[in-house]
Amino acid sequence: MHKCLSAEFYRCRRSLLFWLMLLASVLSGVFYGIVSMSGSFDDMFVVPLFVILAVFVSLNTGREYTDNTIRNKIITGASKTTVLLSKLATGIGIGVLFSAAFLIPCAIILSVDVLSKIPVSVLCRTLIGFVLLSVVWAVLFTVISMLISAKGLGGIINFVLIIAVMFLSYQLEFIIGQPEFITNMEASQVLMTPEEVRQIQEGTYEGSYSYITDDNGQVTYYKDVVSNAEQTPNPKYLKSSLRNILTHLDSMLPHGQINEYVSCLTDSVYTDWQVGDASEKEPIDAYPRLKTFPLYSCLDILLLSGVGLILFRKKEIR
Amino acid sequence: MNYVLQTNSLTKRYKHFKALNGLTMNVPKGSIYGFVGKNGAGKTTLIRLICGLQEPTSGDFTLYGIRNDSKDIRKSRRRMGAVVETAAIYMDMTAEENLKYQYLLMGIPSYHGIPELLKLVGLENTGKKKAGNFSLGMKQRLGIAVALAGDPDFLVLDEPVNGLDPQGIVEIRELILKLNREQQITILISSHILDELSRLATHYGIIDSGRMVKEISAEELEAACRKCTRMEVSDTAVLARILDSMNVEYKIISDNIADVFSKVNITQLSAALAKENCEVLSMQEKDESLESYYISLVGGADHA
Repeated sequence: MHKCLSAEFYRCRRSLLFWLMLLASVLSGVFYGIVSMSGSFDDMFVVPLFVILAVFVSLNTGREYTDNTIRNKIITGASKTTVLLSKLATGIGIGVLFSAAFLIPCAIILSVDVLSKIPVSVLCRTLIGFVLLSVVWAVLFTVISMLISAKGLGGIINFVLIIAVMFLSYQLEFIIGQPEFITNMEASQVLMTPEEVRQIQEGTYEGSYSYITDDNGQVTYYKDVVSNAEQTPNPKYLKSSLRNILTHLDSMLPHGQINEYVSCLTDSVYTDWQVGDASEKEPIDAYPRLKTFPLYSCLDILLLSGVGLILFRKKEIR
Repeated sequence: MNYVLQTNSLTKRYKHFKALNGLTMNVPKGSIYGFVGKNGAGKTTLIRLICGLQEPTSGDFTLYGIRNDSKDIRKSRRRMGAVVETAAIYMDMTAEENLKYQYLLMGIPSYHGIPELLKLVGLENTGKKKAGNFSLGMKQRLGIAVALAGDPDFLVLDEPVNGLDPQGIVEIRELILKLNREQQITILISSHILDELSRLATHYGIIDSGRMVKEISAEELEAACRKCTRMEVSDTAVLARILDSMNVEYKIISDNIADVFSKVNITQLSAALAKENCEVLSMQEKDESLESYYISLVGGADHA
């Protein structure tokens, strides 16, 4: 297998597409760093990296079928298992490299203002988790591209998968995130006291309020006062068995993990975590799933590789 | 005789279509084996099976004595090179880079054989030109160079002159002959261009509808195709005596049929036979080329 790997890495170094996509990863990282400077991390702006991975893997692997060079590997005595494993290893290497190319400039841009506010444990977990996610995507794209001989079709499927996984994870989180009880409230608006108005102006008021500006420019503030709050069971709340299954499924989806990571990062920037104080929680305790995400990613990699191996060995190469 | 490749009732089915139907063939070591058949006869399918790209539905083959279902078959494949249908080369790499890639794939530690290989196929001056900008003939030659990386002693070429201009055809032919004569490489060439094969092959395998119709050596084919007059007489013993007295070369086919190879005075022969009460029933000239021999084997009524 090392012969196939040497040949693959040689080809990557010679490939203009590889260098272009690497550059695109760097630029995506720069862009993500800039948009995240407020400290609010958004999962949408990570998607370009996965699109770059899909483009490179689809074109690079699809080319093997277009140029028929996949035949050479088998004619020289490599088994189909070896061919696929070498492709997967290359995909893993590409996933790590492109994610590093994305993260490094991003980290440089955010290092002073934002990253310094995030606990090191959160940063390390997020970095490792993000790299593993990139690897999961790279393995998935490699398997799809190796099984589908048509270069263009493989690329389209890979791109559609990114979108589909993203929407699936949003849906799952919406379903899982339903509260057990919903509160039916009756509320009325009451004129705010001068002290409360001062708090609004200082930005320290906690609670909901509204205001009206009259023709003279005079602003009058009202606060919402709940007169009657009744908690009823939420019909959309899932039973524990189904909830567990969907939670596991969401954890296995790359985008499901991304959402948790960026939420944790954002919370870490805006929350004053007291590390070492037993009365305060560690950031990771507020996001317990983060501890298991690397395992789910490894499981994804193993499953995808296993399925890919079984199907590719049966594939007839023309 | 030592055989590099032997197939035994090899069958390959694609859903409802049988591309190979019990094919049995033997490729002698050191030969140039011309694998002849019309489009869709099963030539490329056989090549795909022996290269390991696909698995046979039934039957087996041996490569250097190793069966296809043995784990050691991959070691045997390392002794072969192949160009299947089109040249398998990376269009975005130069000729040298393609060969370096192949060398890495085969685990050859040093690149020092590459300039010689490029010179052998006539691509030593391509420089930094990408393979995608090569002519068809150049791509074919690069494909052969890639197949030759690793010094194989069995080369499989699937219709190597397809789409080439006359000069390209001559160049490929001369390369193939050189490889066989100078490096004793056994070569299996599949083609439907009979005239080209007749200039190359030492052995022929004629395939039709997935079956081997006939395997024949070049010498046997020449003998079968030799120009002669086929005579049907009432008694070939009498004919033989008379032809011997006339010093004419002949071959007795049966009690009534003989092939006469030399030019003979028909009037004198007929008179001599009549004297011995031997009747001449029919007489026809036979002049078979490989083409007519092939047509006679696989059937050519719709070509008449």
